[in-house]
Amino acid sequence: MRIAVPVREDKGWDSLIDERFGRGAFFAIYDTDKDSLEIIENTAKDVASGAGRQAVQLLSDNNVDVVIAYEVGPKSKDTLDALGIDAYKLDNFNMSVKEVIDLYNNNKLQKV
Amino acid sequence: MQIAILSGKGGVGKTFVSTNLAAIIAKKEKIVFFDNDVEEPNSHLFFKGKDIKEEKVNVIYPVVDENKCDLCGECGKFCQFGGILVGKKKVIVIPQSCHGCGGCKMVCSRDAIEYTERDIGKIIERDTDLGFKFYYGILNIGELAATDIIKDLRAISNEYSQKGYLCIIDSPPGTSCSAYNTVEGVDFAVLVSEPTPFGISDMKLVIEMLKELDIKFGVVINRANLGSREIYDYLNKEGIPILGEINFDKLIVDYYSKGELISTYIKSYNEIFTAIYNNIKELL
Repeated sequence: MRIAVPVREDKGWDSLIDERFGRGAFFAIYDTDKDSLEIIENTAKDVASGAGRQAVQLLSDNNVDVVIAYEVGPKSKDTLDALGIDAYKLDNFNMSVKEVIDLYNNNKLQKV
Repeated sequence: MQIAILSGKGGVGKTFVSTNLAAIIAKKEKIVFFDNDVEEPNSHLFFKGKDIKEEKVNVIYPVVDENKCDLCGECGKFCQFGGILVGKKKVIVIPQSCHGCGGCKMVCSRDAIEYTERDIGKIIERDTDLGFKFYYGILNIGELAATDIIKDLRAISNEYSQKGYLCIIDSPPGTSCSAYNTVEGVDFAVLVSEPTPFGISDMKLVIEMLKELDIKFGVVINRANLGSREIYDYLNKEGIPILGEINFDKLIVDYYSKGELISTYIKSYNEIFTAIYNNIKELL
């Protein structure tokens, strides 16, 4: 399974969460099967409109199954639903990818 | 002949100038008025009359045949506006993002895409009590593509212009696609501004656009007795003609807030707008 988290920087497991989903700078993608983390640039972040939807497309292209974010807008949520990607919500964005994945692994996150 | 009334900043008096100017010119020439500010039209509040026709503005959007689609994703990659998203199991179309270019159908190797129509707004034709025709567009709430309605309005004004009418077009503010599409190809532009830092800064952007489009223009300075002299220094330095000046006056607000045209009631304002019209004529 592949889990994506919007992050504001490319610092591996220490990357801090970006509070924005569609316009976040990067996505950290954790592959649970391979136990590997990759950081990809969010190519949708600067589009004039519909960044969230295009970010979802990017994640779908990267075979993402789950998104964990501080905030997912209604249009992004509709698109995630339609493309069959689950979304989980963070209560705060002041943490690293490592902390987020730990929360997820310990079932501490709420599904949107 | 087509004259567009523009402003850089919103709220400088673009509709105030265009409606009063139209009322003055209508006494001398055959005019048709267009409100191209389809996101926030309000000229219709000043031109009382009878709406005689209402036509929907339709645009196309793609429909994907799921039986034919193999989810290759080419359509999604082609669309620059995120109008078509391809997942692992299905394709999603976002009609509001579609610009109707037809590209997704062209790149589809499975012939799975057809187009269908939906309406995004309407154009209303009114016979005004002042004796001229008036067209205004309204973009439905939630829609993005104001230019689809603006282009239809421009097609109508082009027709009237060819028949010898003087078309006066109230433009959306700023230099976005909506303003650009409104002003492209007109014969003259009246740029309304005010002597404030915001007014000057945004006016300069519009001036750049008009120069790019090679359109002749002049400036009307509204609330001329407020603010600073900076706007005059700039216009003088650039050699840009000032078509008229209108001082801030509470009386203007009184008439405007009631949806009345002050130039038809108050002689001094009739004179101000007549002078603006004469100045435009000299530059045409």
